[in-house]
Amino acid sequence: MKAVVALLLLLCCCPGAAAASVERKSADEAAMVAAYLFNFGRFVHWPDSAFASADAPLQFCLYGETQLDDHLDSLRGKRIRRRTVAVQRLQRGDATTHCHLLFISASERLYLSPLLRAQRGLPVLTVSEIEDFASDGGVIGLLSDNRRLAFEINTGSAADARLSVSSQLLKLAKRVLENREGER
Amino acid sequence: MRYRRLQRAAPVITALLGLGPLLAAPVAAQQTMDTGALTELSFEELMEVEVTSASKRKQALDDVAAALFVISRDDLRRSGANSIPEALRMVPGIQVSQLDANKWAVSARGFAGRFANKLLVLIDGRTVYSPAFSGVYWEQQNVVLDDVERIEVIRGPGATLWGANAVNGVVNIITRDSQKTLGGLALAGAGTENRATATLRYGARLGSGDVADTSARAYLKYERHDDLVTRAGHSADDAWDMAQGGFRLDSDLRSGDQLTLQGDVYRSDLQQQLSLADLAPPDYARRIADTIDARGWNLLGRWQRPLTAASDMSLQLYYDHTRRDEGYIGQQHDTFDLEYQHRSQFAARHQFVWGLGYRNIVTRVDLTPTVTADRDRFNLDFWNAFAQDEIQLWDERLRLTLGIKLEHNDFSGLEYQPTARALWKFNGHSSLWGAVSRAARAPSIMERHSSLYAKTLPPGATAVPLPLPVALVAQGSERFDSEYLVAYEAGWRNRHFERLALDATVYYHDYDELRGSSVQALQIAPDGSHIILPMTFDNSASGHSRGLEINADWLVRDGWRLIGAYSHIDLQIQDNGGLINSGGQTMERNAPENQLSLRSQHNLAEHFSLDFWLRYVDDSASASVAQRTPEKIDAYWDLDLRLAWRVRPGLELELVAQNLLDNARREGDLEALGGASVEVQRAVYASVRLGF
Repeated sequence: MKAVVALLLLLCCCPGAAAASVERKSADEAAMVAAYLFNFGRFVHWPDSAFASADAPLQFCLYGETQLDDHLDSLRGKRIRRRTVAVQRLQRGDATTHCHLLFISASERLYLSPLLRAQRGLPVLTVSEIEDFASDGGVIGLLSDNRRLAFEINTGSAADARLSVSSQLLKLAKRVLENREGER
Repeated sequence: MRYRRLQRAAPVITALLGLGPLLAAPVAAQQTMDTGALTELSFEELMEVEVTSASKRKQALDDVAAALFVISRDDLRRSGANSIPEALRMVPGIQVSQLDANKWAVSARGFAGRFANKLLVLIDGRTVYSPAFSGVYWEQQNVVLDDVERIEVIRGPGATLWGANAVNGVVNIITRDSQKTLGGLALAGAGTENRATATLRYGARLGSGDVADTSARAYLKYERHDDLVTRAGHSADDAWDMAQGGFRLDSDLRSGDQLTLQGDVYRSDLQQQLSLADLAPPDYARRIADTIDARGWNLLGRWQRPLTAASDMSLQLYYDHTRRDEGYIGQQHDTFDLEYQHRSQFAARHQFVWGLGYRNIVTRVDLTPTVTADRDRFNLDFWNAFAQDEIQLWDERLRLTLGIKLEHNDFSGLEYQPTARALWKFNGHSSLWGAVSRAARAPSIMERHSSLYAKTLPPGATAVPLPLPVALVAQGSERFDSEYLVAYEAGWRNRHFERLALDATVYYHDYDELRGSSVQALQIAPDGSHIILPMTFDNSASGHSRGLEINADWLVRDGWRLIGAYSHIDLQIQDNGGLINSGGQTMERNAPENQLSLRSQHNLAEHFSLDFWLRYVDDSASASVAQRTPEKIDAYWDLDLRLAWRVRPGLELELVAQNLLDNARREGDLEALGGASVEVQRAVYASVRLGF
């Protein structure tokens, strides 16, 4: 028994536990995704025809089962250019045509094709953490990259949706794809 | 005895609990940010923030109106477990005991035993529950633990969605999509009990084209285990080895369809010590050293297709062949299973699922003097249909689930298994759920058609002394019918605290028509050498259980997590007695009343992690029919430690020490035919994991 305690003490005390690390910023994944969505809103421009009026809100929609709810509350009412951000939760099957930014939860992986088909030609910025989302016809796909959150952009899909993506955002993207619908 | 063990354990527990906060201190300097603060950063700064996924694991649990526990990949790896039964020890409400080197008793909410018949186990949708004995041969259920996505454990009836025999629980083992296991993995380990393990797995993208993305993996696995010891300190001669190989292929079509094809093939040699009743004095039992030869293969295909943006269907088909030969029986099962499921959302508030299933099992048995049956081939058909509607009654806050499953089997006919569940989410952080369900456990071939010569009472050993030995024979009966449960469950989940997830479940299970047995008229054997005392299975027993299951998951700080689980069960069985030790009294007592598990997962420094796992299991009663009155299995405390070092990305070394507090301890006995009681030993093993 003593040996076990000794072993424990040894294990607990030795392996460089004392090495103080530099201050690192970290955040919950859901909070990060929410902050990314806000930034995508800042760096993507929608055609005026996408809005009912000059001061109509920029509509963010969350589609499917996500745990972003709590985090998105702090985006509500924030301003992007001259519009305020509105946030709406949608469930599978709900209409999405009024959304400007549509975040598609990983729970919708199976329904992705029909869902993207429904957005075709509409000025909707689609974002998702579903694997290969951008190459499958979405606009922005979120990736995890060495404990950081990264993203890839499909400029072809963005053009189909009549969205203009700032060059700054393209520079930050881990990968830029250019395939348009039907060119794959 | 019990006190002394506690005393011995005490310094370690104090050390662990006391040291914890100390350990955690130096790694601290991490700043956790909320969304508000994050949106103030520039995009460049934002991209430098590290993602912690503390809250991710909560998600799957939160919206389910059932006692669900998910063993994540991280939990699995950090438990140091080498097999699924070992990992299941962390789940509240689950009882696990190792009976010898290659046999396990795993049950949910009581009714423990080698052939625990009220727990349904699935691997990627394939049932591994044996129809002949209504139980699971855990030693034959092997997966590459590294390729497991998660293990979902549901305590309580899961019959509506999963089907018959999911009476007290369901264990659903889900392996990873092959797109997530690209590249190579080599794993080698050696230790005192787990003598050698080697796994080689390779996954690759087979094509990414206009029509589909396809990926696949293949694996080979070998493991060899040492003997345990008997209580007298001798080798239990129960060493075993197993070789298994398999593959999985996943294809995502552009149309949204997903196709999966997977299969495994395995062969295993397992030593065991048997004690088979016979008529030769003085022991009236023959002890033999036996080797089980177990092998099998399976092939499964699944097709999922989205029909609209809110509905989909899936079709699954599998074939499973198993063959197992041992001293007292040979058995071969060929299972064909077909399932169709359709999910749809309608009227915005209803999530509707319905499905149909058919299963055919052809069983062949090789009979022996110990196990006989009225025939040696069985062809069984099972049909089922189910429907379930999940209704949002009040926003997302109140949800009602109604479901029913109808299932037909050749033995007990049509069984209906309805469930009603409600989930109420309040103040954004907590939820309450409640459920009432009915479940049935269908009879096995054994209970209907076969008989087991369990034990010989020597002349004069009976209450009324008889001049001849008495052979006790447990007999199946065509009158034996399903066992039933009506379960009342309620649960509470609290997510109020950012870093603490609390789950509590209480239940009341009301069992009816449980298996009992009745003594039939004595018969003199035709040759006059002995008397036969037949005991026929019937549904004469009934009972109820009450229990409490608590789980607390506390992220003490980034890099240090503590998970505690506590289970309590009080099981009462009424039956008409019975001559051998298989009656209600044993059933009541062979589940430990209290169980405790405390796991600590601690990242010491960037590349080191140290985990410990402390467990307490209350005393219980032996299930062995060889004893005249059930022996007591002592309560125990135990401790596992795991130290892992990530040398560089892809290369990890691991050192695991298990059962540190006891040199050897008995966890339970086989119900019948087993040799001497076996004790589980302290064990140490080391492994290397290389990804390439």
